[in-house]
Amino acid sequence: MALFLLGIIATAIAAPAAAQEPILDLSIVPPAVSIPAGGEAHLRLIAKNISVHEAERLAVSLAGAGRFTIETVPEELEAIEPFSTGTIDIILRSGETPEGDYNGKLAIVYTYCSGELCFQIADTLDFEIAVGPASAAVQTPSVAGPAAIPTIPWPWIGLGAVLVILTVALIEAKRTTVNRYIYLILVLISFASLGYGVADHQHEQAQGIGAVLCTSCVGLEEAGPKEASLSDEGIAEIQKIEGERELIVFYAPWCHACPYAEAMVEKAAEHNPGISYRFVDVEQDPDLAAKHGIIRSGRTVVPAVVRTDTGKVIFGVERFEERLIEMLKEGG
Amino acid sequence: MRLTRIRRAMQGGGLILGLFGATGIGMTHLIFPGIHCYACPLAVTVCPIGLMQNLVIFGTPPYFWLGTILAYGLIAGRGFCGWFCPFGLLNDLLSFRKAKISRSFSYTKFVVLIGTILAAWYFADTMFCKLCPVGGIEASLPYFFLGVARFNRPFLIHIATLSAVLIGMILISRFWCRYLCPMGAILSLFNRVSLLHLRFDPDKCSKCDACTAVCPMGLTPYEDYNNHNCIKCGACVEVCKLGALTLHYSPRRKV
Repeated sequence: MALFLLGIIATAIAAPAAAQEPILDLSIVPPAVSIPAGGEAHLRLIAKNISVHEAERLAVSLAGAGRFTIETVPEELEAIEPFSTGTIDIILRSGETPEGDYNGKLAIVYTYCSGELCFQIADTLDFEIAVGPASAAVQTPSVAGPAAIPTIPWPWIGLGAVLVILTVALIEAKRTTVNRYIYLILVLISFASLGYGVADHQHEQAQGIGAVLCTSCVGLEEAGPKEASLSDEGIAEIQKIEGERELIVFYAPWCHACPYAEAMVEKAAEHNPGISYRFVDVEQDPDLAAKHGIIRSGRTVVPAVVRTDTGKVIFGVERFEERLIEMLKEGG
Repeated sequence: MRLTRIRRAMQGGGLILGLFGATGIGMTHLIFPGIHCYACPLAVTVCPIGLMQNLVIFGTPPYFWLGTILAYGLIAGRGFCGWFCPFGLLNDLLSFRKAKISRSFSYTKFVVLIGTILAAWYFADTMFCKLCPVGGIEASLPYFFLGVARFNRPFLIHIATLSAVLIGMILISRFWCRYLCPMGAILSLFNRVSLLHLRFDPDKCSKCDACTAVCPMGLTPYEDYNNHNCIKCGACVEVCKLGALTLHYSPRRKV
């Protein structure tokens, strides 16, 4: 029991932040590629979603690799379901790049929403490129096409083996009265399974599954889209505010909750002529978004409302009316 | 009575673990060693059956789940049903009538387990959770009294299954554990190898059937000890004046 309680406290402390963290485990195969001068090579980006959130609009571009160009198929991955894997095939072309070894860098951008907050995550992935002579391509193609990438389901094969051993051990245990060796085998299987599961982030998957409430299971109504409206008390509070207030509402086309935030700010402004506002698409004006901390270290968080004179920002739409009024009232 | 008191304390510990969210700690990575709904407002552990269904839906090779369940199986097997599970505690509290177990029906829990897996795969949904009486008492009812859940079809289905199982528990002791619990079915596979186990000395047994009379699972303990229905609660151990049945915690097995 004490061990359990210690475990709970430890895992609660170690639990990853639910939001604004990358949710895709990215890898590229092959990690090093040979390419003939003027030729092309094939790579595959594998994006494993390790969260309960759906990753959306995954796009890949080549960052800082001289004269190389890439073409991706599909151009953009629309969605990667929770705990599933998405792939993008990449055709890398060397163009006019001279022979030699290069460091390639893929820039990967995707979005996801957790509750009423949406995030854009920018990540990079390094790989090695060796550009060889043009003739080499004709004689011995050194490129690895997508079809050459192994797709053997090792985890399932391993699981099958584990289950066979487990079944044999349990049947054997039924026949014998002294079963130390069987016990040892079972302990080893347990540790090995747990170890692989943790290495594969399955403990985080378990936590994510546990943290999401199955509303249809327990009789809760599904939360519909929020209707933008101010309460009578809220309107009275807004009308009492004196002086000028300038707000910037940062939004993004992929943000589900942004229209609500925009509509709420519009309604607040209707009740007080001193409140002015403008909407800024973070993709159109990333510099302004970065200046106000909406984009930071490759992470974009929207919706976000900034009061320009104080610099105060509110993110998301949780208790939006209350927080918006509090922000507007600050400083008289 | 000493064993019963220790067992009640352990069951209380299981209940505390189940409701540990009252401390403000959120969901952790741990899988509960019994059946306990993770939709419970105070849950901090993951329900093994709910997780199992989700893994089927997502097509994840269940290594973390398997490793944990195997560890629980080796530690106590169905001992968790008798000593730790909060729903097992409720079964105990309503165990007024210790009817003899129907052997053929006792395998229905394996049918429920297989049905749960197949339904999750076929419907790509946690169908068992929608019927689970544990979810009814630990999630639907609390959310209803908190004013969050509505008097709608999912709620009524939960209440109906909960009511049916409660009536079953009153009529037949440990009704849920005997016939329906899928987690009990999984843990029962490890009853023969778990550290917690019963030993029987036939030389000391007079076959007075005092143990049979108290067994909440309706077993004949001197014949059925450690079988897949035995929850190792120790009621038989406590009642046996001759010491023919004893409870042990060791990897060694002796008749």
